[in-house]
Amino acid sequence: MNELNFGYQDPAPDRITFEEWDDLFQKIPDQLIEKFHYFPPNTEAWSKYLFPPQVFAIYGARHLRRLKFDNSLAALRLWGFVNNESERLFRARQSGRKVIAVMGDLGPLAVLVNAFPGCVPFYPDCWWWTPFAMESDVLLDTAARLGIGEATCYSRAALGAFAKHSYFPDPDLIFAATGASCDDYSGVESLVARMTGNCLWIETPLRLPDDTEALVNLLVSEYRRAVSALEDLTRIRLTESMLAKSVQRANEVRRLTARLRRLAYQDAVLPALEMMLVEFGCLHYYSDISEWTEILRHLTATAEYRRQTSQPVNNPDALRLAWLTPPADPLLLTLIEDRGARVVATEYVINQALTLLDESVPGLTAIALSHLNGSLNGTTAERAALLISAAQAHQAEGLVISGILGGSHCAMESRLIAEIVKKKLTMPVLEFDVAPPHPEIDRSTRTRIDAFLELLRSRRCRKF
Amino acid sequence: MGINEPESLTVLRQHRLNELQELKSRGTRLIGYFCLYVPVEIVRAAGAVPVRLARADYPSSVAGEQLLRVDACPFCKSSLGLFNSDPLYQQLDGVIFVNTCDMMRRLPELVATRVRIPVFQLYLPRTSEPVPSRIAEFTRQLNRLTEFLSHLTGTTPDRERLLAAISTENQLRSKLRALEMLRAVPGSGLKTSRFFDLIALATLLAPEQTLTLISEIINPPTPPAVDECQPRLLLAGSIVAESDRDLLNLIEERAAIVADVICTGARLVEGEVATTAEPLTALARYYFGRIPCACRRPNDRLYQHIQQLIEQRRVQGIVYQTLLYCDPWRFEARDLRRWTGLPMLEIDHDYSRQNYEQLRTRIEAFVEMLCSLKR
Repeated sequence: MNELNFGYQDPAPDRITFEEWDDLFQKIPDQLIEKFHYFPPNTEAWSKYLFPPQVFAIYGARHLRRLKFDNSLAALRLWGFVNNESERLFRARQSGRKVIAVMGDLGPLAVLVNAFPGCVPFYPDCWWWTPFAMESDVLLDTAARLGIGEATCYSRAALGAFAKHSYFPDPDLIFAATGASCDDYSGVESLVARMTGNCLWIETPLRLPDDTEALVNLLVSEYRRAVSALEDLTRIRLTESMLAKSVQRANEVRRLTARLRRLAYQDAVLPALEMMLVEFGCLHYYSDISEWTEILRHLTATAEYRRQTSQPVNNPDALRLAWLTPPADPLLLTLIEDRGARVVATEYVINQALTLLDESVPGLTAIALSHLNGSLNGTTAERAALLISAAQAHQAEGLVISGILGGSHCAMESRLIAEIVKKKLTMPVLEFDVAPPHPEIDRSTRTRIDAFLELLRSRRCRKF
Repeated sequence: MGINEPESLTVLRQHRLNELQELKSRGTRLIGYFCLYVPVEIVRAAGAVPVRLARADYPSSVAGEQLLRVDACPFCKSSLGLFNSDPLYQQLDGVIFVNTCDMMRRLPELVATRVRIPVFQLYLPRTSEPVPSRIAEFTRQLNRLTEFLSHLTGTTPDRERLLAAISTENQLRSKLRALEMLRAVPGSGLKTSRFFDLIALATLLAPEQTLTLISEIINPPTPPAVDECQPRLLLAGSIVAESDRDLLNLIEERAAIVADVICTGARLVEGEVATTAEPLTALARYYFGRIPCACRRPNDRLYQHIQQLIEQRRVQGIVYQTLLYCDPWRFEARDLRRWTGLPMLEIDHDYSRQNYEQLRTRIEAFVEMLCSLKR
């Protein structure tokens, strides 16, 4: 029994609809709802977040009505926490915390910011899901008015969010990492920097062969600039032990995430959509590392219990897929599971946030080394190798590459990675671009996914 | 030679291509490079011949789509295609790439694995603020480049060779700068399209050949290119390929381009490398600190440079041309328009000629609008 459920008995694992969660939520005791608060140990009424998806749909996340969710209490907690991030950031500001936007490096800088007490790091990059969640073009249209139009990565939504001033508070400080980040997002950062005038540029180098030591030195000097800015802002002097503690906390998150990935991808005990939220949680812990860590523990306990009791949420014999680049539209992950497949390997461009930080070296060096693991920092062949290793570990049968029209690295990488994977694993590859926000997946993508799954099914039949 | 005689420049180019072939047969290494952040001085000091790879056209861009998606940069697609079709590209012994944009930084992997030419990825910090550790890293990168070239050519670019190459390139840049300023002078006879041709030649010819060429063409009596009544324009945006003059010709039928911030234009000839410091350090400082490409962060100095040009050359309008999917330049268009407050014509293109007549109409309308503002 999962002790973190406080006596509540999860129903048999299932993926349930928006309406079904509404019914299920009625069975959750009030005392249980009161137990979960963000910014622990705070227990103020405003910090509750355990609400059914309906609450967030009313706030504007209309897409939730079309998704399927894991029916565990831990997953409800996950969804409530993730959907509550915008409110949490405004509360952070109200409660005297410093809100720090970290842009472009996807993981490492947040570890540094978290070392400063009272600082809350967040990645505006992640607002790229908002147009999909809200089924609205507002942020994309705003970005277009500011100079970044169509045929660009959906991360341009972050620019719209900065301009609207209503998705997160105006940050106390912005770190904009550039160098190895993609052009689309570097462009977003450039316009944000000009718009806000409150931005510190951080060089994040490419990963070059045999150059680790020099590149680490460069990164450490860049991080020192960030440390100075944070010290000026907070009037707190950073010590090595503060940094070491932050590294340890980040590692705890990364270890739990690694454990969850193994459980979900091997034993099918958590759905793909929840796992995507888990993986992306390693970037900035949805602006609250303490509570996020507890949620990961809760999910791990749930997943372990399901594994031990042989209660998977998906059929373990479902078609096994590897997925490259995050599907901007969460409907895609819902669809493939509805169609009898499951995700067993991912390469969501955030490898730098998933690998463990080295606790035996000084903190800034550990963060720098972590950055150098970045998915997009090296060559396409290296990224393909990451995916191949993950796909082999869980015997993936097919690869899905969901790109974005005009996404700078998609244009150069997608076809090459497909080629490398096909050659190395003799595995069918489906490559498509994610359509702009829409209540439904477009018909052609749906047909292509169906045909691809048919192909995988027929290949499996032939094998046996 | 008349400045505005493209035929004579074509003859010179062909002559140089033959010469390069002969040099190569005698063992000289030809090193291709794409970007103005590549210190050609090091290539020359290593005993190799640097050749700027700035050609692009539609057929080669389509050919590049065999390996790249349709939404990749047309210049990158075309460059990839040219490795399979252009005799000059096929003669190269090595290619130097700079990570100026996502697409250009991923191109070397393709060239190395598909074309099988030795490639060198020069890492230029994307950030432009001259923080000492960044310049130190770029200096280290230049050391890596030196090793790569020494290995290819068997010649080590020592201090003397580097200083000599720096001096030659400084002289060349200075002469080309003088030429560049001519086009803003009414009656000088120098059109921007020809200036771009000269720049293209300068990145192909031996420096002494270019210097002779410049001295031949700098003073001849030529018909005025800048009509005082014509609107004075600044050209900004993505790379203008060596073989792509249609847009410039269209503009120059009705207006005068008196300034530009194109990497195959005036930005190539700005500034001088210091000769007082250690050569590699001086080169690192110069190339790191060039007027930033739109891809550098922050790129405010580019805006300031444009503002200066507008004031000095009495610019009345901007033509902002970007290649399709060229994010670094495309994203800056709106801010630049606001910053300068000048009328701006934005043009997207991909080397195809399908919209040539529509372009003509847009340019004519833009020029008419500027003329009406003048009145």
